[in-house]
Amino acid sequence: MDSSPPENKLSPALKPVVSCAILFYLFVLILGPLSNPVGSEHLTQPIAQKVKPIHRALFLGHGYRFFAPNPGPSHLVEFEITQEDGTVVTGRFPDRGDSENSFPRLQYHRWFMLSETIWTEHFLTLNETEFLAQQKRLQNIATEKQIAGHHDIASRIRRDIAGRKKDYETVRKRIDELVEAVAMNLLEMHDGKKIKMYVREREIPYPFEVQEGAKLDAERFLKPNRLFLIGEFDPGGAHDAVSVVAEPLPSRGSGGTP
Amino acid sequence: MIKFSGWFTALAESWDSFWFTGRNGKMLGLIRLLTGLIVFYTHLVWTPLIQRFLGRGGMLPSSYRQDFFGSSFAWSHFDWVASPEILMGIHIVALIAMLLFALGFWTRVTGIATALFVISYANRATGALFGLDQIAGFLTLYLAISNCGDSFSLARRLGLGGERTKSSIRNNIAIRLIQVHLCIVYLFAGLGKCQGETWWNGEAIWGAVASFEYQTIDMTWMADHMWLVSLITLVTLIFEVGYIALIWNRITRPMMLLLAIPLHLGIGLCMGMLEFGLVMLIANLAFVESEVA
Repeated sequence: MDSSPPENKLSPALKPVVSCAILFYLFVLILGPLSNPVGSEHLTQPIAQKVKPIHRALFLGHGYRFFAPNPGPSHLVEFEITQEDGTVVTGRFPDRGDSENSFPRLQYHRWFMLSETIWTEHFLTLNETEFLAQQKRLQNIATEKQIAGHHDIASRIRRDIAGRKKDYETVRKRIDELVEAVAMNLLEMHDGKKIKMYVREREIPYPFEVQEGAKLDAERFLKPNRLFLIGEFDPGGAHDAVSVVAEPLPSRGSGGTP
Repeated sequence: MIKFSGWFTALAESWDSFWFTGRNGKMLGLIRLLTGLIVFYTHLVWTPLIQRFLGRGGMLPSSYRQDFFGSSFAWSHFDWVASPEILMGIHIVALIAMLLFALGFWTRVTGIATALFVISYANRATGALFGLDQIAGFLTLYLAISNCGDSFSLARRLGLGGERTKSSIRNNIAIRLIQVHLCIVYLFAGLGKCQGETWWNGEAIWGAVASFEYQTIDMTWMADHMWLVSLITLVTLIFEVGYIALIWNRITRPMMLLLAIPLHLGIGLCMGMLEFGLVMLIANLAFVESEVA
């Protein structure tokens, strides 16, 4: 602290105004981690929704759950590109061995975070079959309630079904757009004609495995053994087919990134 | 009733002295210099990736961000400009503004410009962000409202601005906001970890150092010393959960600040996130001045 007189003395009339502004700002600030990644749908999430414009405009509203709940496995996007002459090029990102995209380290980290985003988006989203099954289940419950004379509950469930459908379509759209944009750029980078994209998980070895001499980059830690297709694109072909992960990859625990 | 009135008066006085006491800009000047250099560097790294990641047709489609947030307030200049040449021109202007801000040139203007550019890039890069961007975002935001141009200023040394300011309430509000925001960051980082089994059984740090994708320094020798892994894990958990209480106390503050150094340098050096580690340490400087004063 400085003992010299403050340059900007606040007038007594202004002080309550600034105080209210600070209090409001702190309220907005705390709503970020209280509503993201999870929050109460009856309290914090609806309020956070109201202040979303401020969160977004000032890049606030983060959850700050670095490496929580557990430091987990890392996730890779692997690709198989067919070039014009039929040559098949394979690769993955992030790739510590890729000198072009791994230096400086921060550049590598951007690729890494992109692959984590693609994984997380797929992991947290039901595939279409699962989603339709969920919708059918809810529809059956609504019908049962209707028959039992609980019309209010039935209509609430039907509204919920419609809301979930809308949310699901939005999420699917954004995932498909992201995967397609990445695919198109990879095709451009590798002079490709067709591309297949997969996600893969690299598990953290147990300490005893390392003590026995296992290397962190050993193939056996790339689980599961089969790849999960997230997209297949042939821009020159008749149709850009997009398929999605059939099931979430098993993991040793839910992981968190910084 | 009298007691309640006394309590309310004391609360009002504490609030007043916490937020509205004048503060010089020395520590903020150092935070400005270091934060400015970090954001200059982190945005410089975007240079070869601008079109590939952020441009029209890049890996991160604008529509992805809009759908993700469901809000048009996640603004970015990338939405308004399509031309790669103009985007590169704006990028160069952003880098110049950040460097000038770091070095103390016309900080009232360059500070606001830096904060806006940092937010703009961060909003655009949704999908490739991590903690570094979040911390740099709020630091530049609070620095923009302060009078932090007079210390650690090349401009002042060259006689090109950076006029010496007296004690300022704006500086105090900026420092207080950094302090409070940092406490929130640590609190929720710690509470989030409390949900994870490995933070309780002492294995979490192993999960961090044995991740091939993160690794920059081989720390797998720790497999032979799991007691050390457990110790670091528990100290990290206690540090993050306890930070909000212990950093305000004069006795425990130096301990928390000292603990922050190996914690963040460890993450930075061993896990390839040096910029993130450094920016967290820079944010901790907001508490150092209180210790010096």
